[in-house]
Amino acid sequence: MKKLFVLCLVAAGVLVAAESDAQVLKLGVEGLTFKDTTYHDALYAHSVINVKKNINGKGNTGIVIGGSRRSSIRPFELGWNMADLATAGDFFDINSWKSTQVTINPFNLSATSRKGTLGLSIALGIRANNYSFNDAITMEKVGGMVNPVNLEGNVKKSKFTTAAIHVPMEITIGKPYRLAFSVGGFADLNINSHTKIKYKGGKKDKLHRFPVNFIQAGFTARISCRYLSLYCNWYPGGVFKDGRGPEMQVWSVGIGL
Amino acid sequence: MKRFVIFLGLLLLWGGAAMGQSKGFMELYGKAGEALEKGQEGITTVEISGKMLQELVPSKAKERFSIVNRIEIIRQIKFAQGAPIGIFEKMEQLAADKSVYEQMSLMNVDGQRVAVYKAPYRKLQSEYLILISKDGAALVCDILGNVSMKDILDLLYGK
Repeated sequence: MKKLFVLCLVAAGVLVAAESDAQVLKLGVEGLTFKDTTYHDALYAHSVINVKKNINGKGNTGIVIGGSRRSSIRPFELGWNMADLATAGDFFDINSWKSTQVTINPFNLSATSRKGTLGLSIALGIRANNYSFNDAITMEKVGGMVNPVNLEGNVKKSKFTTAAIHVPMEITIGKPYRLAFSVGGFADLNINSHTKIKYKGGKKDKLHRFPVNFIQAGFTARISCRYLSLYCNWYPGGVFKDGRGPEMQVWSVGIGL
Repeated sequence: MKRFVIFLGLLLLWGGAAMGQSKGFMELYGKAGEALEKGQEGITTVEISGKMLQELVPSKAKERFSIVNRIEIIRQIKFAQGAPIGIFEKMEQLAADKSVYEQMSLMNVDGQRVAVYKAPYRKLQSEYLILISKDGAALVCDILGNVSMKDILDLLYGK
């Protein structure tokens, strides 16, 4: 999983996009005129690491790290997961504070209206969902079903993690780097799922390949203001395939930077 | 006394440098202003300071090395089609004075005849006098600041 994150960041660094100036100065027989093209481009592609060209001087090309000002989807998101179990008392009892959701969106594509107040944003990234168990339990796969296993010994932490390719899409009203409200959906294509147990003393255990939904789709609502956004995600389909694990709906709230 | 003479000399030199645009240009710019005051149609003068330019083009001003952060002042005289261009012709004669200006280029940009002249200004700075004409309309633009010929070309081509 960590390797995947690193790979994604490297890819973002390699596939750079040149950013051009939003305002253009021109000198002609009409005098010095300037054209504001800030929101004139209908379609705008952006990667989290950009090479910004300065046309006015030598050697002024710089690397800029950051998201698109026109997209509501931020390059980095940190959230916290909450599981709403269909059957009360089911074993998937998680500690929400420790169950983090980490998302990196290195690539962004946005289409906006001329004034930039209405837009559609789509991104490509990776997402890791961590579910940290409250009790000293873990899970195992028996006959394709997920079953709880009680842990013995000095357990420091036990969690279940899924890693996915994240494709969000949002419709935005307002300017994301001023004030905007967005609603949309996302599809997480799960590529990895595993449990991880950390024992006191440093020993670790891992179990891979659980019957999780390959596509975890959900809905998002977001408020963006300046460099910060607050979002709420809802996964109505839960984590596991039907009948093969605890049924639940997952909610997550977090911040985007 | 000797010190006083040296001090006076330095003061005069500094004063000359601080004046900025060449004397000839300022005289003609003044004449254009007078023509404007007299109600001469078709001639307008525009003066844009570097700070004003930064306010007008904030996205460029954010870039440390952008031309808008290096321009001190721009003075323009615009001649509309059919307006008397006597001042423009005098400006051409002034630009031809090799003791003041050095001709940098004579080119055609988007069907406009563009002549660029350069004069030194303060330490490491320049004055660019740009004469543009097309279909009877004309423009005289004088730029002061830490600008290069590449900056002028970028402005002419709208880069």
